[in-house]
Amino acid sequence: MEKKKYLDPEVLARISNLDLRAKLVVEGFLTGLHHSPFKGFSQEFADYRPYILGDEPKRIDWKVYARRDRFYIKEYQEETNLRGYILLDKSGSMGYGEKITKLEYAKFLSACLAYLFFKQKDGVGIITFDTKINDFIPPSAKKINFTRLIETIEKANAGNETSLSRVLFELAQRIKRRGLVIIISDLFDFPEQVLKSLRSFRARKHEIIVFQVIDPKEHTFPFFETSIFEDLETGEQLIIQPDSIRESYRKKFEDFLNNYQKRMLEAHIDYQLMRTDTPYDRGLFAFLQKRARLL
Amino acid sequence: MNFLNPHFLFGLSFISIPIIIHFWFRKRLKRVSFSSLQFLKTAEEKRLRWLKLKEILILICRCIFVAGLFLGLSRPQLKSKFFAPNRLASVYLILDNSWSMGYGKNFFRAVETAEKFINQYSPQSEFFVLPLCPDENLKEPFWTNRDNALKMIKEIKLSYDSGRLKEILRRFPPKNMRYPLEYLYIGDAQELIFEELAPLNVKKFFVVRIPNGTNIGIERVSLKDPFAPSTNYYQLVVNIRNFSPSPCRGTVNLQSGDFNIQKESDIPPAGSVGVELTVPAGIKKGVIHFIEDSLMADNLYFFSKSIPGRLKILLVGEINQYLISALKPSIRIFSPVEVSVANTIRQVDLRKFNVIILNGISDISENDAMKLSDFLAKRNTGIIFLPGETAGDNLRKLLKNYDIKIQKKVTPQGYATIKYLDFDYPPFNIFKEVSGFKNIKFFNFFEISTQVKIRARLIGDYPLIVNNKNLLVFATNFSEENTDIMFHPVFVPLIHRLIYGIINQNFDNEFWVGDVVDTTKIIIGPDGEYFRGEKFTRPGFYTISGETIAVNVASKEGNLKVISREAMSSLNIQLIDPIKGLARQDLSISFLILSLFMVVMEMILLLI
Repeated sequence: MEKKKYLDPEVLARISNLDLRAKLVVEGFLTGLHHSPFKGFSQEFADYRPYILGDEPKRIDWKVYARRDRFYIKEYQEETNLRGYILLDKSGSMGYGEKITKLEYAKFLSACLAYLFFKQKDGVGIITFDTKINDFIPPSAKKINFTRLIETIEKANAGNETSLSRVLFELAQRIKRRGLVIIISDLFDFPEQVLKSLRSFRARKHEIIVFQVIDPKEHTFPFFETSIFEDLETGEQLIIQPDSIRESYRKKFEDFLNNYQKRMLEAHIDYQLMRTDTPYDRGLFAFLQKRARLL
Repeated sequence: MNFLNPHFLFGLSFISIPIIIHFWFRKRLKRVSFSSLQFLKTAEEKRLRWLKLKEILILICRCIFVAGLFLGLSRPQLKSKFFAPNRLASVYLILDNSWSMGYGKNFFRAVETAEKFINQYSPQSEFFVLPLCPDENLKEPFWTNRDNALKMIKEIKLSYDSGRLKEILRRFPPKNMRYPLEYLYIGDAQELIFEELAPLNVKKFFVVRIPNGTNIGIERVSLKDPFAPSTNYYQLVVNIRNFSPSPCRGTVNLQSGDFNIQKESDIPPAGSVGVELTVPAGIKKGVIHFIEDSLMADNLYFFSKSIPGRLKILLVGEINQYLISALKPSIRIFSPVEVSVANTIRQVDLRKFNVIILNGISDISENDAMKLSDFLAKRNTGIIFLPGETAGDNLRKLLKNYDIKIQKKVTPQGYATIKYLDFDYPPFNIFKEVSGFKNIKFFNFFEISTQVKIRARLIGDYPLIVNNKNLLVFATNFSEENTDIMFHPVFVPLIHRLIYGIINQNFDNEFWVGDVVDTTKIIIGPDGEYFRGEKFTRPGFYTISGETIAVNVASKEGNLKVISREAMSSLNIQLIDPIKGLARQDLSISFLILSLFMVVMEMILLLI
């Protein structure tokens, strides 16, 4: 039953009609919906191109020759499965939220994405981390893998401090094969270092999608009473009069988000801000639509 | 630190209240778990630091408020920095009992202060208690314990004398101390007390100063002109010195029996004036004091003067009308002298006369010479010799006993005039301002050979007036062949001053407290008692052999000028106020003000 929580039929009914297509075609050994960079013998037509010396004569499209009186080679796109890596941040700060915590939201999102991968017969793996990598399920299109993956998502609890940039850098070293890396995190780390780590993924030809999950309260800071604010990661406490710092906080936080958005765009990394008050399926839907437009 | 209301110190435990409130408030605060404080910190890092500091400052303010309130109510007292309680020392204690301490209750205060300071020391401390003006009979003091020292202090009496620390330390040098030596002087710290005192080789020399009044002193009461011929009145000069730096106006009052005279006078700062009082000739003693001064004791001045009475003069030899008219100008005018005339002294009872003038006598008998010798040996008698044509052996012999030799007669070509007059000879002081002596002509005179005082000289260094004790020789007699001095205005005053100058009269029968007494004579003290001391110890009138003398306190004692800070520094002296020196400073107000200040501070902090 718990597993089904992440596979809400309503949610999936809305997004399963959309194709999750990776921007870059990665190598794979299962046939699927994705385009392969290796054009060759395949059922999916890619393009025509003029014949050049060295091409095998058997690849000449004689029908076109008959119409145009020129030799053209018919190219096909090889269909292959996508290797997806879902990186789920389960640091202390992700445990924040009233009705739904950021982590819960991230977990829903992870499950949806995993299911999408699975349904398209793409290999999908999950990596949970805080200061270090906690769970690493390698990508696989097998059903049993999907079950393990859902279990891993299920048991992920917010805990320690985060060291996002270091973990990402470590993962970039570890994931050898190209694939689609989906990072679901609040990105509460130094942006410079996070971006540096993401660039290292890009350097290895990975396609990256970053979902930055935030809580609306983090955005609006709707506190009024003088209170002791406790850091969920470090346990540090501060007595704060919210009225006196609200404006300043909002500005800083807005700058933080805008900075990420701008820098991600510069680095050709897909970035999507996900607030936990927005129904997660809507957010996912909007994202997939955007992806569809991009492809 | 001592506390007068120590039970209020329990209130200090209430300091815990603001601390408890502080932590309770913290606990009461809503706790909000937040994803990360990094944005909150960066948002208002400075402000957060200030809030944190403000919180601590408010807590401190509240704690200090409570502490200040209860410390203030407990009346904390700071002890004197000089006199830490129970200090163990050998204390050389000098209590100033000099005359100046007689002002108001000063001596009583000094005794009380001494007791308080003694009590500051440890009971094991030893004390060497001395009055600044000790009795002659004071035996060698000894080191004693605290209780005995307290008794000894009470036994010290006020003295009429002046004292010097140097003298005390010379007479009773401290020795055989068991503990570190400390000097402790308690008194008005007059500058003169420390006169000629060399720095003492001691770490602690405390001077506890008892403040005194103003400082005016009667320095001296004298006859304005002791050699003036006696009339119905004479003039006294009262010299008053103002030791203070501000001017003083007061009244000089003379009281003698029923006679009273007053005169107002202004005395400039740090200066003196001589106030002249005209006194009837019959009043020869009295008390003068200067009203308007706080220290009356040193302004009370007893005086006793020997006012020249009506002298009886015997003129022997030639009758010289000039001389007689000079001595006795007119029967209608009061004459200070009574003149008798005789050819020889053989049949005259010399005891009736004060002065004998031998005018133009060539010689006398041996018997007469002996009579004259006896006459000269008495008090208040004198002989003036005015030589005639020659001088016989007996006369020469008499004069020789006084180291005066009459030589040959000199008749200068023309005349001789006066070359020198001894203005330092008291009777001649008045002639300093008088001119005309050089116009006096001397046609004949005797040459006088002598080693004694020459009061006047003629041109050619011939002695004109020679004086030894109460014998005076004039080089010539007053006849027109010898001189024209009789026709000069100075003649009459000169004759009178020569007479009063030789009668050996002591005009001032005055002494100071501390002067040595002639113990061979019977002395009657101020209260009619037989005086048996070796020194005068108190002021007043004393009677010695029927003669009245006045004993006074030295006027310097009236100089209350306090020893300067520079002098104290050079003597390594620490000046201590008698009240503040021991005062336990009450810190209540300070603590309560601090408390109030903390309330204000907290309000300000809360408003910021």
